[in-house]
Amino acid sequence: MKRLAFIAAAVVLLTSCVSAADIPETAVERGGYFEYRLYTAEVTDKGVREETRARLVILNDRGERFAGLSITGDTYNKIDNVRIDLYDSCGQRVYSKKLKDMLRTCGFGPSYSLYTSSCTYYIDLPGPAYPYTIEYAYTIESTSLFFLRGGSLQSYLPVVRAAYELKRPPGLDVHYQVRGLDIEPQITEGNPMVYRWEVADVAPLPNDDYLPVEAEEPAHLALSPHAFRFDRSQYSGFSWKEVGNWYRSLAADRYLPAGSPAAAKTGIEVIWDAYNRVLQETRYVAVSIGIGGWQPHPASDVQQCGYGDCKDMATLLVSYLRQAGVEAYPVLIATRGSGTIDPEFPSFGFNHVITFAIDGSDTIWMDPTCDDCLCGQLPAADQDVPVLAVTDTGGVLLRTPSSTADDNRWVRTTTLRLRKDHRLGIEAEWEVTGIGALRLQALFEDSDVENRLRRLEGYFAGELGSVKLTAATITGSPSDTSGLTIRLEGATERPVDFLKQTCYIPPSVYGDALDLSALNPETRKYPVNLGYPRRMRDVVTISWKGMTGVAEATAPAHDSVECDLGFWRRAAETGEEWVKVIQDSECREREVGCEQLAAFSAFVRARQTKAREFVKVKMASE
Amino acid sequence: MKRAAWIAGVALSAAVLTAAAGGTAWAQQEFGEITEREWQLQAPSDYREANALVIFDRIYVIGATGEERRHIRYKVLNKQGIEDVGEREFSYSKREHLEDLKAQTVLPGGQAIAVAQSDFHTRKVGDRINCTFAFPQADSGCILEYSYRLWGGGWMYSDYRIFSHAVYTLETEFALEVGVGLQYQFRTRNVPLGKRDPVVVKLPGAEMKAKQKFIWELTNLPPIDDDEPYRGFWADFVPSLTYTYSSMERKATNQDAMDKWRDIGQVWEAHLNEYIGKPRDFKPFVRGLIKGLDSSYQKSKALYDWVVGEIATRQDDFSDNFHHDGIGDLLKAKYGTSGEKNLLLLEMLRTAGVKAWPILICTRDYAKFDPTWLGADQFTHAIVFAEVEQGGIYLDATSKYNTYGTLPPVCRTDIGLLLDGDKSELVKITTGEPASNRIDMVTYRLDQAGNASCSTSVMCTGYLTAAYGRAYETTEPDEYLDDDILGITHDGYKRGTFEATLDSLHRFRVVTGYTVEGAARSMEENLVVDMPPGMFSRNPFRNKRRTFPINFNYPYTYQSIVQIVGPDGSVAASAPPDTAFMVDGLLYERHCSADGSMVQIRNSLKVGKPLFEVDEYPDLREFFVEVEKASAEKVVFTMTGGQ
Repeated sequence: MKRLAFIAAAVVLLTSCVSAADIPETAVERGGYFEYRLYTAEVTDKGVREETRARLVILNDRGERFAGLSITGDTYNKIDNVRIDLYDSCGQRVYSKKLKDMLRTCGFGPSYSLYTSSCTYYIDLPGPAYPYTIEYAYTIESTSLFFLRGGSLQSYLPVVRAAYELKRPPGLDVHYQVRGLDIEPQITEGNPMVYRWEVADVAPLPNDDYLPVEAEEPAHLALSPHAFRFDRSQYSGFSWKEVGNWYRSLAADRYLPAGSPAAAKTGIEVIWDAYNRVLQETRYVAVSIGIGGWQPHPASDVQQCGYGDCKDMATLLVSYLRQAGVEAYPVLIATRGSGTIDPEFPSFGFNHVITFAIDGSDTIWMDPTCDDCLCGQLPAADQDVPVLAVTDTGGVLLRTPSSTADDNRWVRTTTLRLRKDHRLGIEAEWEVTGIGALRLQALFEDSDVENRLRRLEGYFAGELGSVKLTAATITGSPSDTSGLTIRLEGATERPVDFLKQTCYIPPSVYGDALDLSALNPETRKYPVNLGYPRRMRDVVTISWKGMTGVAEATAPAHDSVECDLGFWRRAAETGEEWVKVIQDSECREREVGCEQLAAFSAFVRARQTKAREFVKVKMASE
Repeated sequence: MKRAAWIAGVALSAAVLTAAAGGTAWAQQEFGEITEREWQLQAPSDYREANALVIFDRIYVIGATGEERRHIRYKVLNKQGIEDVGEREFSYSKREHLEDLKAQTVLPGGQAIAVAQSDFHTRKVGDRINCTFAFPQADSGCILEYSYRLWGGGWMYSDYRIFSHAVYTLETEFALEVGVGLQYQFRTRNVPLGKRDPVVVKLPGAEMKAKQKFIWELTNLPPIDDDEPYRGFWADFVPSLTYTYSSMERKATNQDAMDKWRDIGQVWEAHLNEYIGKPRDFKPFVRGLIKGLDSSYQKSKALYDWVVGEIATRQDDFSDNFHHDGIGDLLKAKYGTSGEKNLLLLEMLRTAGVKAWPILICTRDYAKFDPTWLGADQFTHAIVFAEVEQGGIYLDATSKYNTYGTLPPVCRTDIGLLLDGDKSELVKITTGEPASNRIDMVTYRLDQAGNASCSTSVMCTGYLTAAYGRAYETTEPDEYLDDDILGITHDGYKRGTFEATLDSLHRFRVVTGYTVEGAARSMEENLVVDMPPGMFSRNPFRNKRRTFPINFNYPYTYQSIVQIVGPDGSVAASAPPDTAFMVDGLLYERHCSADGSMVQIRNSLKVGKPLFEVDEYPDLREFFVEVEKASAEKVVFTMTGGQ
């Protein structure tokens, strides 16, 4: 879509020294662009020295948030040679900065981390009138090839030219894979061997709604060293087996000593006990010092202090399970949205550790960092991704299970009481299992009473208009097999349509979880992320008990719509003082492929149209 | 109420007790000494949803050395409470020494589990150090506590303390030990009457040399809700204490206050003059900009336009530190904070022969200026006052969306400190309010199936130009159109293109065309359509509880003129009735007219005053509930059967 909105911005560009003709198409909308992003990695037997260079043009206020630089280093990764120059639109240098000018923060990792032994240097790079240009370069000297991961060739901003150059001695193999772009390296034989990947006009990362996590991952060059030493650990080979062996060696002495298996309990009972014990006795606290980012703390320490990070909790859980005679392994995982693991390309791009146990022919997956997960249930971020189980003989690549629609059930029984002012009183009971239950549990835990009600009101964004809830209670837990139950009370804020003595009441009380109206199936380039498979049953009873003057009521007819990915069905019953409408629907998949989108959109639209059909309550003429 | 406590210093208005007397709600337990009452604590009746409590937070500061001792204790009420308080962090300066640090979890059975010294970690941000740690074995029902001593920071000149915490606080006690001859002035904010003045305790010692201890104690403090909409002046509504060293040895008079503001003004002026120091060729440069202009008005306008247009504003906040050392650097770099730009403008005006002065103000996003608090720490920004032929004008060069002679909304304040050497004084700031309006012209044309092709034109003036213009510049275009301009949540909405322009009269316009499939519901021979959403169609004040006053920043009027045209062969059968309602400071009116298949609805919502106190909140909230109801009314078209 071409928009006229940027006339003003274009005028600025045309009157400045930067030529508008050089600007990538999406740059103004995004706020800027990279003229180049270049990486050079020199591998030696001592580690790797990687230089990053970039030139970034900020075009307007939307691009301001990119006008800064952040570099993280630690004991193993030394930051050096930082040079930053900022130029005005005519190419005049406004200022230069170095590492000493940057704000140094140490100990801060990701938001979930209590402490990490890394330091981040940050600087805001404000500039004069738009457009202005930031040029920066820095090197990171890593003491281990473990840190050789490659680089991102794509960004939220368009990139005019991106390149990665790898220099390595002939004896130090590095494996590579380009993801998201179809490019091959230019290879120059010699000592060093030089590999160069170069690409022009890289489109910015998509900004569409409902993107699958893979589409949000920038196109990049992935590198994986054939061998490295890191701290006291070492790795050699290019296989998942060896990746697993590497982690196995790091964690080998971290488990509790073997114990004697509990008698008189079945395997599954033992697994439940061990899982619940870890959940009850430990909480998630991430402290990462040195190699502690990859090596778990001793399980005995975790037991003693009652907290640990994901790998600590997994180590403790595996210990308990093994003590009880259950075969169990830690599992390395890259959670959904944190980067994809390609089964064909062994690498170290994991960010989380979970646990896998075997009970006879059953496999039980557990993530003890998920406080509310049932034993055997994984949170949404862990589901349906390739993972590496660290077995006694090395890594084994597996895939985590995906929950099915049947695991994620919503049964919402709602009574709408028609009042004289034609507003509706609401009493609802939701029984929810699976991922929906986890999310609702989190909603109850994270908010106070009033904010909780406001957030729950958001679920009622259906045809009734806005709803005011006055009470919400929760019983049960996502970790109960029956899920949790939420009871709600409230009323609609606007009267239902009343025409010619007839109340028109839409039985679709709740907002549509599959509102794809904003998507255009004809132009959509990416699959649509539906979140998670789910089965929904909405039983809506419209009652006028106690109201006089109702002559007759009619319910919408039985109806249904189907497509390959799911169905929607409606049934209705009519009583003396009520009409009951039952809507069942199912969405079986997480994603709709581009080729399925037209059919799926038509399905959703048909469903939405049908769901708008009214229950009509006709009043007797006065 | 204007409190005069600053005049007297802390000693004058407080009751003096002996060291042995006085008592707090919680006896002064030692570390690890936990009472049965503490074990029995539950969520307080006025905050049932509490997951954890601060049982007490006791801070003792020795003014002469700056030494601080602190002991804080929590009760975990449920599992979520562990998330709330299970990990702690406190901050201190690089110059200070941390000693006697200890922390422990006390299990319900009484067993104490200490945090190992190796499990205290230090994070560093510039000159600040943050000590962080996790309580071991923390669980529901546990008591958690830590204490520490900081020293070496030097004499305590001034300090700001917040009494409340992120969780409900049963008691916060702050004690300041003051030696003989030292005087501090203090002020508390959002502290109940009777608790504002400290209890004064004479410490043992010879009469003439006895030190005193000033104690503030607050109890039952709910956590502050950070998510309240239309919140302003945040520093005024967090329960807090500010104290600062005061050299006054006698009861102060109004003349003292005037002298003090004059002194503060002189110090600030000297500080700003360092920044202003004229760069080389400044004079000819300024003369070049005003060449051919005669009047002060023309010159000031030309210089204002130049600073606004040529020097980019780069700041997160009005109180941001300056980027440069002086206006020479600023001119070279061509970007700065709005404060820096205003100092440049000031010097340009003076160079051009226009009389101009800087005025220090406290911006509305921070706090209301308190003239009784003689502290330079109140100021967050500097604007310019210039004398032109038409009179005095206030200038702020932050944004092109502010017309010459108006201040950005956040700078609208009553009082400022005009800096003029030994004539520096507090001045009343009286600016002409620009008329701030948003006027929407919305047209919906319905077809037989109830689909609408629509157009919306939004025009903003005055302060709303700045608000919507800035949002346009900083927000993703689609998000801006959908959220800031149209606010349509209908699932049949299909976005169209839009154009945004700022005209020479500083009116900001957005024009767009779009469609809404299924905008009207088909009911037999009728089409029922909801009114298109506008500002406040949905009540932003949904919570009953309110902590902060409601700050609209400036008065403004929202108007929408909505035309809904039914399909051919239809006639408007019903339209929302005319209505009007108001509360003090807010007025809503609606007039409808119908002509054949066209209905026109004129809505107007006037925010007549910028600030509503918390006790006005119930009425204000009810007003917006009624606006939401009125906005939810419908228009019905009946098909007449032929074209």
